Amino acid sequence: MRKSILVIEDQDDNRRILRDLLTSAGYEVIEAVTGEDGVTAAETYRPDLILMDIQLPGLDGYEATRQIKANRALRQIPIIVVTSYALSGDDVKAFEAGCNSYVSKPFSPRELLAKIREYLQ
Amino acid sequence: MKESRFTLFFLFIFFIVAPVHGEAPIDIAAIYALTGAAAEANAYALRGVGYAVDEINRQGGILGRRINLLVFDNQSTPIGSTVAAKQAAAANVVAIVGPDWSSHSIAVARVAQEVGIPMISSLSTNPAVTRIGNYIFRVCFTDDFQGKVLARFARQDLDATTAVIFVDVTSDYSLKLSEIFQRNFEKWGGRVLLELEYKLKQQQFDEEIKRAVKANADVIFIPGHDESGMIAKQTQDAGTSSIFLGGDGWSTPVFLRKGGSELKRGFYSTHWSGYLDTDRSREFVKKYNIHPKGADDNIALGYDAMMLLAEAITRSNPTDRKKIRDAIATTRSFKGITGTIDFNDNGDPIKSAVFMEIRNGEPRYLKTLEP
Amino acid sequence: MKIRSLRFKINVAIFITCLVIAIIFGTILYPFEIRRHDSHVKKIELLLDTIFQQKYEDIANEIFAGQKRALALTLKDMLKVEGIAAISIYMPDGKLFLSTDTVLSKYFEKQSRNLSANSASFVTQSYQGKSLGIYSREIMVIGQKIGDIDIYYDFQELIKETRLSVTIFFTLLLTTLILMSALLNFMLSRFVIRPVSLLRKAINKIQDGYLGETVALPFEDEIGKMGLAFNEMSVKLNEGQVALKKAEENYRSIFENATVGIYRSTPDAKGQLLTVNPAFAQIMGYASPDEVVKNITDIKSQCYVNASDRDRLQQLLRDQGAVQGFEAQLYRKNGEIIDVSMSARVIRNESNQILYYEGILENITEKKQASQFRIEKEAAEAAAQTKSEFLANMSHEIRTPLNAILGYTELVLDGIYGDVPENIQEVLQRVAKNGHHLLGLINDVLDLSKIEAGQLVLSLNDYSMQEVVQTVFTAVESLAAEKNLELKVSVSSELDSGKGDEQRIVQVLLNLVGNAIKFTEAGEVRLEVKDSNGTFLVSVSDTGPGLSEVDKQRIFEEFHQADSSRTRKKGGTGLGLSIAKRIVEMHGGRIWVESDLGKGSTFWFTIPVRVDRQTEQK
Repeated sequence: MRKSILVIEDQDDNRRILRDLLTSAGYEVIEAVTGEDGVTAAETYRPDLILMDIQLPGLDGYEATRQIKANRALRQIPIIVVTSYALSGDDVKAFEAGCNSYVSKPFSPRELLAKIREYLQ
Repeated sequence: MKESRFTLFFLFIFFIVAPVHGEAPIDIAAIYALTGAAAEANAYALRGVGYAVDEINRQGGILGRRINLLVFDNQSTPIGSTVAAKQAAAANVVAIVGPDWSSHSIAVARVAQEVGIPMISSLSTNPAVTRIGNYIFRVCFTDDFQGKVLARFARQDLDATTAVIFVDVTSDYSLKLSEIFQRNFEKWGGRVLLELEYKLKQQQFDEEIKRAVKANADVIFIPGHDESGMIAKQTQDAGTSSIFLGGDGWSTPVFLRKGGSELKRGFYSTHWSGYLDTDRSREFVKKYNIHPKGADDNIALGYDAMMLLAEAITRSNPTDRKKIRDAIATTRSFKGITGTIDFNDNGDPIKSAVFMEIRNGEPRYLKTLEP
Repeated sequence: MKIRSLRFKINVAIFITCLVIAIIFGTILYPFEIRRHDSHVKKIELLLDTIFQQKYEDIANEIFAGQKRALALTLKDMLKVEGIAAISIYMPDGKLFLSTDTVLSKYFEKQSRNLSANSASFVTQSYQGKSLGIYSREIMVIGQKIGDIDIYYDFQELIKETRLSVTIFFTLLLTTLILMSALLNFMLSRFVIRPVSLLRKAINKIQDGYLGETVALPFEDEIGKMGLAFNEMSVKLNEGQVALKKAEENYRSIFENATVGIYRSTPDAKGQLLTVNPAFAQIMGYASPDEVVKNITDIKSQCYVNASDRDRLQQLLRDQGAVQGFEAQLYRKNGEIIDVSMSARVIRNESNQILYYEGILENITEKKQASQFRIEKEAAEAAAQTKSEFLANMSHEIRTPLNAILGYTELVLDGIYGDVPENIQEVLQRVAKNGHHLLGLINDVLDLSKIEAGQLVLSLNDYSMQEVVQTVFTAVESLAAEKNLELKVSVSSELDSGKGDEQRIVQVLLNLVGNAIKFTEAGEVRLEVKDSNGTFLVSVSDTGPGLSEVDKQRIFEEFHQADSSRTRKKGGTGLGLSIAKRIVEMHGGRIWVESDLGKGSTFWFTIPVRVDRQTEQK
């Protein structure tokens, strides 16, 4: 069974990069553009992993993370937060929100895949 | 005033009682003490005078004229005596009989002499009385004599060497007698230890008596009047052993009454005693019921004075004072109760002194001392 | 003479009273005494008369009968009567007949007597200092005078009696006076003077300032009540005083210690200061309130920068009676101008005339400045904020496309989209490299901007230095391998657990090691980490060309590159070391370099093992 990864990212390019990367790595990719959509998608599709961008319109990544982690059914889904490390304290905030890990942009595809593999083994 | 009333009373009595005579009565004054200290004693003399007057009047009076006795009270004082004398003079009496006491007699005598009324004192022994004048006479001896014989008696009979003399300085009698006694007593070797002056009117003699007792003389001479009785008795009571000696002043029942009757022993001189054994005495005593023990011998003197006067008037003139005086002066051997009386130039008779002894309060005739 | 003493007054009063009583009594008694005396004299006369009458008969008879001895005894008897000094009997011709005192008789013999019969004369004569009464009578017998009698009565007794009674009276009076005086004095002393004295002492004490002094008066009489009232008053006074003091202290405290100036000034045109507090003096630059009051005689011209301000103030006060927040500029003592804000009110008397102004004065110069500063600061902060936001946005905006570029390039290179011919691969690799370089530049610029803006915040967490070293080692080992440089790492085995911003420390080390590798052509790069005394000591040494003196000085400056000719070839913005310096210093550490041209360089830095707070950048 192919593992699914929910990608919540509002930037088209970034989303495509992730899509292409993950797809080539053999994952099923579910996409959400906004935080809310992301949360809904998580509920709907129950992915195996979520890649969460922080800078999202509306519900930001932290809040979306919180909501997902608050949901008993979704809590176990590992969430890797992707942060551009622009503002300080992002990582702390991310962990506080409940993410399992984070990656900073720009990320090395290899690194990302490696991290994903950690959680999806 | 009392005396004038008294006089009046007497006058009245005599006027009513006396039998009415054709002839005017002869007014004769009797001046004695009716009041005062001498009154009690003087009563006896006056009685004697009265006896004589009665007797004379009973026998028809003098020359057929009754004697009208006017009694004047001399109040026992010299002044009273003077007043009485003046009253008598004013009453136109022809003669005066009395007084008894020398002080009174001296006063009366002065007036009598001045006015010219013959006066015969019954008892006054002070020599000065008759020396006032030729109108004054007495029927008793004088103190010149009495004092002498008393002093002799004290020395000889009583063997007294010391004497205490009580002197009544208000009495000319006492003064004189004590003076003469002292003089003679001392002349004969006696010694007067004390002369205790007193006044008759004194109520008490304690002071003097105390001294008298203390002096402890052989004799206590009390030449006073009847008060001597009181003095002697009190002195005796005070415990003296001295012998009491007195003068004729003692010779009155008043003396006995005032204390003389309690004397255990005493001697005194006097003029007459009821004890005298002469016819006249006996007769008189019997007639007038005189008790010898009573010592009321002044009655005799009063009687004698009056009788002598009457006799003199009989010889002279019932109205002529001068003549009466002359008659009195020339009295020859008047045979009175108290003795035979002849007047010397002074108007004094020479008479004997009768000595009485008091034993246990009773006077007894002791002896008679001739002059 | 001032009579101060109560005792004296009362004693004088007693004395005067007694004197008055004595006088009154004396005046009342005097006629009585006179009467008594006269009646006594009359009695004596009567006595003598009686005696005479008693003895009259005897005397008369004795004179009449010439009985001197008897008369002597009679006279002696009469002499027994107390008071009869002597008796003399004279003859009608005036010759002495008998006397109990011949000397005395001789003395009076010459005197003529106007006697009528039956009447006596009683005259007073003095003889040998004695007062004698001579009772003279004629002695009449049967209407004829037989003599005269003089009975001499010694009034001594009577006089003595009178004197005695007077003496007794006065003694009594004196005794009364003394007793009364003593009693009253005693009572006065005990009941009045002593309590009053106690009271006076207490009052004195109060005057001396010992308020609350009470007095214990021994009795409960009027004075005692006064004492109680006094005590109450004293206590109240004291309480009042205490309260007043407290209030005064309170207000004084406020007045003295107020930070605002408090003043009272005259309402005239020029204006003078009546009272000021220390704060006022201080505001106005004077040493003391006294100095202020002395020196400022014309407020309007001395103090006000603009005289019209004062006029305005006065007008407002007159119109409204009070002003608040009146701002003006004043001259201090030294001429300095300050901005002040005043609140004042008028104080009027019963006739509603203005007596003075009262108010407070605040120096608002600083406030004004402060607000100025605040405005500027807010502006600056706003600017900074804007800048931050700009940076944040910018960094995000810049990095996003760049990430996309790099991302796509990576993916292509990874063959995601299919095979990639080798020549394209190589070119794409260059593209990627340039992209990375660009990213590095952007990061540096953004970092520096942040640092400049004071916006860089360290994320202080526990870290392991060993891990940091490992990370750095891993990151650069390939680079070192490419240039055939030996990469040596020497880390002491017992490193404490550090606290700090791990990422930034990595960054610093990366920078240093990266530089070392970049500028060393051959040899080695050695990384050493020690820790001692709570400080990490890190050194990165290379066998590179070394640095000149000039470079050594300026190497940590922004945009400085050592030997720009050579380094231009190497690339780099020159920001790295300055950022590294900032980061190290923000950790509270130090960074320096030891180098000599041609002998390589060693970059050192220390950071505290545990950093709890970032050190603020100046």
